[in-house]
Amino acid sequence: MRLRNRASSVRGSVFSLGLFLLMALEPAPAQPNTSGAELMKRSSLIFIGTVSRMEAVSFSGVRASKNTAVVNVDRIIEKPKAVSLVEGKQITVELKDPSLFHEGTRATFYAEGWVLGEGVAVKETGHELIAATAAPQPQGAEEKRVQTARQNKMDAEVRSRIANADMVAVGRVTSVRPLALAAPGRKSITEHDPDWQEATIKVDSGLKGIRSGKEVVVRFPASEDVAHYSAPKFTVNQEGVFFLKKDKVTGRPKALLGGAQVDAYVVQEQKDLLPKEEAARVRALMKRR
Amino acid sequence: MSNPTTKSPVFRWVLLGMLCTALLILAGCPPKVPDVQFTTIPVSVPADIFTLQNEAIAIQAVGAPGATSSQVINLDSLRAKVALFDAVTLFEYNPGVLKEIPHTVQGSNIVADLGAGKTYVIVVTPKDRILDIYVVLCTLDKYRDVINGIRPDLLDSICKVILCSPDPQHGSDLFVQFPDLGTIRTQLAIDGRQIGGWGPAPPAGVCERCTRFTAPSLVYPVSQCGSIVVAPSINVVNMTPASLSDETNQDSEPFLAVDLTNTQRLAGTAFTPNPFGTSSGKAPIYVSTDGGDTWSLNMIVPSSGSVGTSDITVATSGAALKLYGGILRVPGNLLLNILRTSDFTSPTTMATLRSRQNIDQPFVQASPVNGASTAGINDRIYVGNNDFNVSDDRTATVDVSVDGGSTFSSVRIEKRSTGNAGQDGPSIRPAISHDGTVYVAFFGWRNFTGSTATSDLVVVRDDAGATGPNPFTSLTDPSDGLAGRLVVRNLTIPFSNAPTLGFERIGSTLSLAVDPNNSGTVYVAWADRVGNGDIYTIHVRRSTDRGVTWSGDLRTITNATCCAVAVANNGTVGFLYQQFVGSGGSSRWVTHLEQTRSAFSTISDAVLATVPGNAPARQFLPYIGDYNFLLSVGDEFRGIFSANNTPDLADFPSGVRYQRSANFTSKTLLDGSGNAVAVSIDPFYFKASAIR
Repeated sequence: MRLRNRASSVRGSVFSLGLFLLMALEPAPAQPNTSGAELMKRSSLIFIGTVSRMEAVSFSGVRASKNTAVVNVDRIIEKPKAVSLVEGKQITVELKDPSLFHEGTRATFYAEGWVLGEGVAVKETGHELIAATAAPQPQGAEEKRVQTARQNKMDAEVRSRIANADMVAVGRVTSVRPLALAAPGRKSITEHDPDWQEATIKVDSGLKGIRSGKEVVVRFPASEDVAHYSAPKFTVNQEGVFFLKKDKVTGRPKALLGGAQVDAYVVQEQKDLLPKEEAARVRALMKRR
Repeated sequence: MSNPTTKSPVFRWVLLGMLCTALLILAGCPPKVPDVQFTTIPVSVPADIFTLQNEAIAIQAVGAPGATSSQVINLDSLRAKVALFDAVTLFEYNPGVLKEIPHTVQGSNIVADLGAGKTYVIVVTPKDRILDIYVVLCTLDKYRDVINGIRPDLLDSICKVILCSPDPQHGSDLFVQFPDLGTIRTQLAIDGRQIGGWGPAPPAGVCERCTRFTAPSLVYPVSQCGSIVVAPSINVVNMTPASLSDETNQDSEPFLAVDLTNTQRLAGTAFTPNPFGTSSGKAPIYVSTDGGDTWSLNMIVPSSGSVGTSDITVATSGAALKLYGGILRVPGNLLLNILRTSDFTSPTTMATLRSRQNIDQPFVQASPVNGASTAGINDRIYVGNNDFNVSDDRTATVDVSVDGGSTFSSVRIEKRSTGNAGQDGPSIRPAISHDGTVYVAFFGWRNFTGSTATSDLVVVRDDAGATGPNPFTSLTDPSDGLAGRLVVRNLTIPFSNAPTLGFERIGSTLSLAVDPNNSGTVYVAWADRVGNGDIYTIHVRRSTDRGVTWSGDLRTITNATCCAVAVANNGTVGFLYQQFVGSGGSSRWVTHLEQTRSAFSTISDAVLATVPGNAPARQFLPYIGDYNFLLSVGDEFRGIFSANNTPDLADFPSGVRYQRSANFTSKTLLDGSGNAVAVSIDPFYFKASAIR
């Protein structure tokens, strides 16, 4: 098997063509998946398929070109929840290098979305050819490999979130109150008003930027508006792992805590809060950084 | 209304038949022959009419009350009159509601379970090509005088191409064969239609009709060409593509644009996520290239919100495939992006023409320069928006470009103090007439208590499309001489960013439309709280003197939102709104399309959807939208709304078609494997012929 990715150059294509010719003559040896995690970052659909027709499309809502192919979906490894794709159906794939494929070519396809209509059309982000004579893999081996890579990807996202946070803490919400936004800056009346709230969090375990036992003021948008609904909504006694950034969005960077002016923090994204059960994993990832 | 065709005896015969059918349906006529289990009441169809649109017969089953039995309904008499049809649909009739009944087709018969004492209606649907031919012939007839003025023999020649050609052609081919027609191409609006193509030989006597073109009722269906419409033809389509059958998102706040060079091509938007996730940084639009029958998602909007954007509207101008967009981009702090693509069906991400923060509710409309531009170079773009960057609290703004988006200027259209409100309302709505006149409506807030705005409804106008030195100052108010006519003063508008009307929020519902052929006639619709126990009431008013004076309320609708008005080419006014009725488990969101040719003294009302008001659960606000949209294309209305997507034909009295997998018998949505999918909010597209 050979892994293709976006970084392929013309030289790589020529090399790939040569490799393809070699593969046509004899079974290809397996090659290490050196950039699987990177590939998966850009791939929301992973499936094993067999090319049915080259330069063709599987439904009328997408245009055929030299790079498009109709592929039979043999096995779905991962797919977005909303996309209606089942094994045995056909899908349109825009190939990065169609010279590597022909009718009957079987491969694991890594892809990102393109067009969703009567059928599904995707753009290849990479692939691994499966030689016709290759020994069948044990049941679940492909899924396990993908799961591992997917876990690696999720870990990388958490590490990135740790790196970008000013403070990371395991703690519990002890109070929630509306944020009184007075001057400076007159409040605009809009349906997208975040409806900022202030929560006080008692830190059980400080992982970054704060010590255990301290308290911190965290602001979050309580609004259910489309612009804010996915942000965490804190309630008293809620526990979790909090990824906090200093407040640069409300116009009031300081907050009152125990009568003293302290830095205020904000959360705006769903992933800024993880369940408390994830604390051990976050600690482990911090040690490995 | 007068029309030469009404003087034709044949026309009167056809009309009589249609009206008889309608009366039979409405009156629930007793069976003529009581000793059989049901009776068929065929419509009178003249022998020289070769087909009719949506021909119907009414039947009534008899027997013991409550009894149901399988019945065979013979279609031979119908087939003898209406040879070329695609589908037969059986409905159970109850006052105001037609509910589709499952049936099977066996040869010349259909078989269905019928209930004693109930009235049923059989409707046959002609082939799409015939419908296209109707439209083309009717349009030519409408412009008969113009075409005869170009060349007297033109109509007969064109008619023969349409009716006698053995091979199907595109409507646009007519402009190749008859270049003289090019001067009225826009008005004819027949691009994208398919004409001719009867096969080796057309139906007997069809060609000969062209020599009698002056008697169009011999050829045309009453409902397309006659002076009276029994009911407008309406198609409602759930826009969620088949390949998204597994989705359960709240696709609210929809918007629509139509490519005027080929009205088969449409672009729609909603709060729809990129199903492949946010990592690509692109949100989707809905695209159709077949007149709205099918839709696909095209990920071309540069925004990575969990549901795409925080606001989105789109508009076409006069250039093929070109699309403009106004969005609040994610991530961003009320980040306005004005976007453009030269081909909205292509996968290329839309280009950002303008970007700035602290903006609310961009609402884009566009037009060519007096219809002259086809390349879009000089397109005029108007993006209404509430700009919080102003220093004088007068936030109502229109971003204007008169060079296709190369450059923009921000025009402040509020000329009065906003008092302690410190700003205007979110909705700033431009509307463009064919002659270049641009109107803009907005809520000029004068006071705000925290939950209620006291507001003037203001309309500004620019007779030169905002190309002069003092844009949007053509219309002044006599009370103070300032630009902007105060249509209504001191409105009480509840501003609630929480569920208030059912699961929906309220606070800035506003729509504006101008007659495309008479820029002096303009309609405005808005919502406020009257104070008679209402939550929110929509009003419609009209000016026939370019906004100088305004009527009183022509129409009021209690407890409704998402209103949109449009004016068709023939002057018919369309009024779309979504009303919340009932309470709790019996509540409904009812979507209406009203049409009027008499300033709402008479109304043709079609219920497009009547869906549960308490389901599905709210995911975010807005639940169905702070707005929806209606526009006109020739003598058609095209529109879009969001609603509960339960596949229940009783919820869609004007009919509906789903692309996504659904079982209408079990009223269940299905995923790709046939498993049940939870009900959610979907966008629905519709088109409706304008009444005449």
